[in-house]
Amino acid sequence: MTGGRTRDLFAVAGMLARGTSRGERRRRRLLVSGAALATFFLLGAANLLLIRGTTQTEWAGLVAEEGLRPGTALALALLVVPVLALLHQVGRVAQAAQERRLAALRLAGATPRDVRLLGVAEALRVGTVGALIGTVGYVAGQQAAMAALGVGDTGRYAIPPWPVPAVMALVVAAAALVSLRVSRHVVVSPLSVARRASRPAPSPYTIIPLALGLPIVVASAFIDAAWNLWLLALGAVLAIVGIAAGAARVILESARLAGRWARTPETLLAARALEADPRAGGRTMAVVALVVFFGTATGVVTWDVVRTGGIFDDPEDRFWLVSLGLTYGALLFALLVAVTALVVHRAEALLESGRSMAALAAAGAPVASLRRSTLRQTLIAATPVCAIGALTALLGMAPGLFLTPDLPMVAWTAGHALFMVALAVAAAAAVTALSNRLLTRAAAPVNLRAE
Amino acid sequence: MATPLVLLALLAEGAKHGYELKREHDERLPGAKPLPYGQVYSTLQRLERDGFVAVAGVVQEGGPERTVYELTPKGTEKLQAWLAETEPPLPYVGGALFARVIMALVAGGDARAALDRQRAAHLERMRELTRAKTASDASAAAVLASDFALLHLDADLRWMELAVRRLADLTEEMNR
Amino acid sequence: MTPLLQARDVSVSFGRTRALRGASLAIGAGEIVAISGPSGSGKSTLLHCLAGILVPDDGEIRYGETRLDELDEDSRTRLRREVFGIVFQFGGLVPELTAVENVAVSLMFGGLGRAEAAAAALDWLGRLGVDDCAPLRPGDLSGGQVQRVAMARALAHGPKVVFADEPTGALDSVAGEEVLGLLLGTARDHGTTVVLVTHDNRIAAYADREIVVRDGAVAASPVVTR
Repeated sequence: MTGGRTRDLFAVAGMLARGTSRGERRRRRLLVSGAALATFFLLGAANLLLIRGTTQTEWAGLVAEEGLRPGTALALALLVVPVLALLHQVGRVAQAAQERRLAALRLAGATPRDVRLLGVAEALRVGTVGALIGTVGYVAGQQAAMAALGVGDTGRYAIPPWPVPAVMALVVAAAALVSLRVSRHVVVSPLSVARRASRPAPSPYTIIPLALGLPIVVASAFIDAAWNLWLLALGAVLAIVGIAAGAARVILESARLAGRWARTPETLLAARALEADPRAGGRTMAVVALVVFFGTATGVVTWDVVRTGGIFDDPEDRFWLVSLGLTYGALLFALLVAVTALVVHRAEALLESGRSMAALAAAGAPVASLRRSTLRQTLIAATPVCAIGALTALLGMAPGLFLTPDLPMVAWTAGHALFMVALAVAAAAAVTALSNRLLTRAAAPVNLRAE
Repeated sequence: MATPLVLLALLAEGAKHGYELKREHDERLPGAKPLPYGQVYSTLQRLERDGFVAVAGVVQEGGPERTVYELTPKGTEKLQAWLAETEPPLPYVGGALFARVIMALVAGGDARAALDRQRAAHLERMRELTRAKTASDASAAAVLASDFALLHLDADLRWMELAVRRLADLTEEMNR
Repeated sequence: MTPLLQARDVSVSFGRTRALRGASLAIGAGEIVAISGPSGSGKSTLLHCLAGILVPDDGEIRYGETRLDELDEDSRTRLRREVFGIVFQFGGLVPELTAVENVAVSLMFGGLGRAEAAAAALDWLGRLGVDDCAPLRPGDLSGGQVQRVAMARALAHGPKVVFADEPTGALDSVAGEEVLGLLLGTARDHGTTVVLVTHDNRIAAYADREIVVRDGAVAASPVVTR
């Protein structure tokens, strides 16, 4: 493609960006915030990795101590994962909506490639704006935080300028990649846009990493060797990747089971809807499950800390209080982002099934039942995935739970795990309940009108 | 209608006698007026005189003797030539309905009511035709004949609606 | 004759658009009635009012002795589920459910157990000649098959009234007439009242009577002199 064409594409993208609807502006704002958050976290991670030396502090050990910084950086980088899931979800909706408008451009002679590139151009724009906001936010936030905390040696902690453009470029590139990935699922013909009718069901092989990871994690507890930590790490990584990759398949199996045993129309509708598209929900549910995974793991650590010393009265252990607090804060944040992604997904799903919902309601299905059905859909998807997340973490982090059962410890850890699952499922269910306004709108008789 | 040509077409299947031809004519073209036997007889004689059909024999099946006719090569040729022609697309205007509706609109008064009455009458006839074609014993020919009539009546109705709309637009324009 | 369905001076507005302005009609039990009129005349809105899907801004809707416009949403929903059946132009089937499940789910909402509902659904698919489509999803069916499944769904619970909104609009002539013939044949066998909304004169001719809607009101039935 020539430079002139590229310039034209950007001009067209700009024109399209100006004339947009309210929904589209809202989506764009979400995309920009997502890109900004990703930039923020990645800058934080890069920043941490670049600090040298250890300062003795009472509670800021996660930043001040040399040995802990990589872990903190990894945690910050991991926070990008839920943000990416959100970006992907919003991107899917935005792309579909935009390409629906772009069908007209196809009639005017644009090739599918042009249309796709227009999507990328839009993603680059949004990604750049988001990255800029994120950078400004990070730098300003860091200065403000250091001033507030009375940090003297600001030059030592402040992020040096050189990694900033690299992180920004990374975020913008990721935005473009997500846009390209997302547009694979939408086919634009000059006359209409249709979501690809049937995508293949997630393969059962996507469960393999999880199936491998779990035994390795368990086995590492029984091996008394120097390398058992490496084994544990390998198992944990496999399990995490496995949860992310296998969530859709787990949801599919869960939906099939629920569909087979459904005795009420609500459950049947819920199970079949999930079965038809387990991937969309799987992506966000995987993030929720990862939150449960890390949350459960944190619970095990919390037990160890609580048992070995009073974290509330001993100033030496203020470090733990702050660190665990931050961890829970991060988990809550991840959960919130995942839940936002879930909202977007629900809105999209309801928009797409508007006519059949309205037809069902017209034929006498109570709207309350349809609401129950969407709630069940969330439960069928969230429960097994979150349970697997919790179980994996328990098996990996608390071999003592099984080797040397100790009642208070078992009660705390298992209780904490259950609490995490319940919290995650409840959060997902709450989102579903909140999105019911959309459902009522989708089931309105207006949607019965033929176009 | 081109009765001689229809008879030639019916003879294309094989030799037939006059009564058989009349029966088949009425069966295959249920929408058309039944063919009087006398007309079959006189038409066949004319066709024979012109060399399009020839007498193939005489049969007697319990009743009177009947002359059986068959196509001659010249008759086959004539039939093929007819089938190859197209029917001139008739404009169908100038019918009684057209005149009545136009005059109702021209003469003023309650043209709408007149059109509604016409619509009701048309629809009543369409219901009869629909009943005839959906009857369990309706032959394929009867269904085709009903469809033919139904589509023409439908065209009348749609034209009437269109006429009213065009006229309403025109009146609006004049009143502006 | 006490009419089974009655509308009196029904008005409905959507924002500034007045879809119906004082429409009145009466339909007897067992009648098969076509509501016709040009597009935008308000005939679909009238159907939605009669079927208790929409509550009119003004006027009365009666089913027997029941005032639909005075019922709450729950009672109207129950009425629609138990006494009415509805067919739309585009089937309105749930895309994720198989044909048999689409019919069964409606019966399950009516309180039938899953196994009974599935058996009854299969029976109705058979009566409409689409039992071989039972395990397929709407996306794998032809337009005519989708409409037959939708009709099975509308008929399976033994409704007193079936409302059909342009049920043949998405089909070609032959398939449309076939499907409509099936619906009306079944309705006649069971003495079911049918209210058929259509803009197609030839479809309207399938009904016993035509009600013309024009500019949001029912046109007076003319006295025909021949």
